[in-house]
Amino acid sequence: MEFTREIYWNVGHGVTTLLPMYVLTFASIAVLVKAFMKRVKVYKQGKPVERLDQIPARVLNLVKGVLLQNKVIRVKGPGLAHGLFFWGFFLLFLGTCLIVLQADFTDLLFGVKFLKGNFYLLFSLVLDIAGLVAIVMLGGLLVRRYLVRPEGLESKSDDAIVHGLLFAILISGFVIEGARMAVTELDTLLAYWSPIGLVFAKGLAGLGEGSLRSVHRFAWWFHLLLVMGFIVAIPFTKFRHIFTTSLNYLFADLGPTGKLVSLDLEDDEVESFGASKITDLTWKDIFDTDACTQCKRCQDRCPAHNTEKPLSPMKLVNQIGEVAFDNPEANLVDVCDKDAIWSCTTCRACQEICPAAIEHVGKIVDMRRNLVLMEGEFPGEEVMTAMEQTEVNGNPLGIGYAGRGDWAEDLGIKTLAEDPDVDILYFVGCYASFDARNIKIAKAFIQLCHSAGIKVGILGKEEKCCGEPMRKMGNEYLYQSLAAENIELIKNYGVKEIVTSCPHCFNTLNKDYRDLDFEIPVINYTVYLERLLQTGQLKLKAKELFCTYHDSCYLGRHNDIYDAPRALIQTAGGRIVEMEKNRAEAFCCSAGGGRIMAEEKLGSRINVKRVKMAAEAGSPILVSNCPFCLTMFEDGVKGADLEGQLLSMDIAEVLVERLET
Amino acid sequence: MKALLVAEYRDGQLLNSSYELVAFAEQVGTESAMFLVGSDSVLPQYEGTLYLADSSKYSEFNPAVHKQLLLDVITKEQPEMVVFAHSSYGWDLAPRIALALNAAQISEVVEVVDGTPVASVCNAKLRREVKAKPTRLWSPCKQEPLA
Amino acid sequence: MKILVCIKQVPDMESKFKVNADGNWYVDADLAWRMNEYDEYAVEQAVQLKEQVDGSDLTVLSIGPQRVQETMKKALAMGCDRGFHIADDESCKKDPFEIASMIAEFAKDKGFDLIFTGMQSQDRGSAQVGVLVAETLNLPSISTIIDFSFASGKVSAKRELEGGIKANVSCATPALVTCQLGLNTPRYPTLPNIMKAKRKELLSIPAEELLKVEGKQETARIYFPEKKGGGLVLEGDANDLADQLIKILKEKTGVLA
Repeated sequence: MEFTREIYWNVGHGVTTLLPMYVLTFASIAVLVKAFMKRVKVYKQGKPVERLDQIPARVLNLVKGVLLQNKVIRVKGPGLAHGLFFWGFFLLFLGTCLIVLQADFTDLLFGVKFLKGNFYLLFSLVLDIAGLVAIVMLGGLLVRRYLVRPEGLESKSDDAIVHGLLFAILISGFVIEGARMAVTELDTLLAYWSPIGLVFAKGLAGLGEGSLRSVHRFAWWFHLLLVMGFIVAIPFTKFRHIFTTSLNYLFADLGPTGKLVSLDLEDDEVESFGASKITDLTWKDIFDTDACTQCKRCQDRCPAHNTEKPLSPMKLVNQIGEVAFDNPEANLVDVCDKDAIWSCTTCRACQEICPAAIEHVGKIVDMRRNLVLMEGEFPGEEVMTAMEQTEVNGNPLGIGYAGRGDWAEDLGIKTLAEDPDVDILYFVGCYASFDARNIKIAKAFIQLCHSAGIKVGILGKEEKCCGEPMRKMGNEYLYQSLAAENIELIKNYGVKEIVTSCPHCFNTLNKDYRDLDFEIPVINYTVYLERLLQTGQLKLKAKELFCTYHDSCYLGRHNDIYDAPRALIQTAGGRIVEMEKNRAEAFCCSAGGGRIMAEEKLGSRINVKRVKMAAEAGSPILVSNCPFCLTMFEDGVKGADLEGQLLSMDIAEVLVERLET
Repeated sequence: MKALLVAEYRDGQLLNSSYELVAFAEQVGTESAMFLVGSDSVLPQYEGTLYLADSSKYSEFNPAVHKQLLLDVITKEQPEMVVFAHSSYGWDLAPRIALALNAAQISEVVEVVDGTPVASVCNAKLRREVKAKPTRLWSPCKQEPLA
Repeated sequence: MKILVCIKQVPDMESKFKVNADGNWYVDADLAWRMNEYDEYAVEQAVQLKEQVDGSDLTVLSIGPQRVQETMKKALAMGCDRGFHIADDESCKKDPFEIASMIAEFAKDKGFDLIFTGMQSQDRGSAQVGVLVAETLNLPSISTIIDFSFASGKVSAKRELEGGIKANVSCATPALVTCQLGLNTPRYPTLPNIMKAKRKELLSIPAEELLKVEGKQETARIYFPEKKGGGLVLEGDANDLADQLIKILKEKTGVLA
């Protein structure tokens, strides 16, 4: 005998079954489509943005995101549980599709059956295990949500519906299977290929065939109704994310990572800049709000949220969603709250971890742009002063521009104005030019280059702030003015290659300036020095060093440079003990997003928190790669009462101490 | 040479800056007279001629009236120099007097070197020696450097 | 209501100053230029008044070389309606009386209801021009104000006196006020206003057309003061530092006597 089973056993395959079943199915799908059409109208309030180019890359994202659950399972525990549940449920869905395909199409029309033999055995076993895994994972998630409840996880009626419906569908499925097996398969070899169904069958066996048939028929129709309910519920509940989150993988920003959209400030047609109304955002921004499942991963990692500041990236995204769907006339900035908007350090921890590919940072910067460009508002007077200082002196510190190159006196380097024939242009940045602590890093870098025989030039007093802090703070106009001046200057000197020791300068020159007709290669100093090590130009004498290493947001998450700096430290003889939050999970120093210009008035200090994490790692030295980080750590060490216990250093300092002489 | 020192009185108190003006006159080595819109209950310890106007009558702040009172004394004393404190009172009154007398006003004088007033420029980053074209010199002077 | 605000472009005080070849002023090279801080308060207050009184027209005036137009553009972006530039490459050689005379000559037949100026400039610090303009035009003036309001033709202001004391002063318009630190927080120009400012009227006339007087003083020599004694850097923890400081103040000064 060939292994198989009768499809539509006990419920019949006639019009009385198929007609109501298909009518219900099509009606449910119609409700779903109609409800989504309505939502599409809401998305369409947003401005256009191209998110359907580069289809192969986008489809790959979709497949990885949905089928492999690659973003979801990055967080062990609930992420893996969701992944396993998804795979289980997805297999059940595929199994159901196969049944429909055979019973209502291939068999009905052509007399072809494929659910038989060994394939049927495998089919039965896989679906049974899938169902079990789905139930167990769902149970685990239920316990997490309603019994353990991690901090910040909020449950609404939506969540109860989702859990209840899924449980009911899965259990009723097994009841159907069990009732059928109790009548047709008990004591056969086939039954062992449906181990979970067999458990149900044995439990139900005592009822007798008549009752079992009634139970089966009832459970079958009930299961069908539940599934119809599920389809109908998709657009109205969190089930929505099955479509929206999946599509968001397709629509995801393909990079460069974290690059902001440049505004056309000269466009006379534009009356308002930045976002204050929902129509100022793009349709993708609104779609994002529909893709959020409130998993709170962003909030868990947000440095502002973790230091009692009023920002939660998750809440902000959902507030934008509420405006889009329920209150489209509302002012976004008021709804999202200015303090929350100003609290962001653009560290990208939220966006990096988001399993729904939501883009938080761009929305925040868009609202900041509106505040700055349209209202002349800043988080504090000190920020406005820094902006004005930058307008006057080209640096937010307010130091006379003419002294920008003073640090390099007596180092044997010239400005490009004096000698433009150089191997690299070192774009120094404001902090390494003016801040006493960071000048040491600039000097160390020059020393390293000189020992490697590299001829370095600087712009000296002609260099201006790259504009990064201003841009992230929303001042697109000032950023573009600074960028235009720097670009014209650098291009005129015919520079071949630019190296920066500030990840903010690096990110800006290497990504943001690309919109402004700037093509010269830009390299971060860690990558550049590693290159010099590899070519043998730079020679280090390894000397022991026990340290922890901080990934700055703009070298790490924004540019994926994690290994070059670690390789440098290790080559120098360093042993790195990682902090708990490292690499893509690194915790911000507090100074990104233009916050370097702002006082941290709300909540506790981010830099102190990070410095304490470094101390907990157990090494006496904290090595970093960014002038903002170094500045914040020097300050944080004092704030955390760790003076004398934790030393803050830049990689260049570590290396220069180990130069072969 | 004679200097007319414009002393200050406020809220029933003679202001200390008044004595700085005396010190200034001594430093420059000029004889002096003093003008004050104040009260005879708190007279300055000053040995020279004091012209006192009653502030209860002329009020503590009334630029037009104070200007006229001061101009009357100037007419009488014919000083080569009128000295004000570097204060809100001096800033307000000095330009009015300078214009009325068609005289130069040299502000923020921090020292006098060989008869040439030296004023502070650019947040005290620089100093400048000032040459006044007419003979008379009007000088609200900075307080601290004179002590 | 017709309003005039007078502004000066000054070097940023953080700049590296160098004395010129004649030794009578600083050189322009390597200086960053900005609006005199006190004039920013004046512009802000003038713009607020303009916004308060419907149908007002606000003119910003500045004297100096071509570069002062950049600073004037900021005032226009902050909300001034039109600019009047008195072009004078030698403005640094003019004394406060000459500067005030040019302004008065410009303003005398324009019927300004209110004129705002800074209380002094950051570079020369003469604190004369505003009051001189008022005296020349025979207008009442209130100097060093830190609070301003206008209602039914009357200006009410608070003057800042020394020692934290304020004086309430009022007068009828037309009048002139000179603005002191603390009056307001100057606004940051919005982008649309920066763009609009580029298209606003900005007339420029040579200083000779308005200069009818001779100066009364000139800078004979400018120089860097000798550093006397230099600073004393104290090091240690906060409590020790406080004790050290008190000791020094007691021993070397009369501050705590």
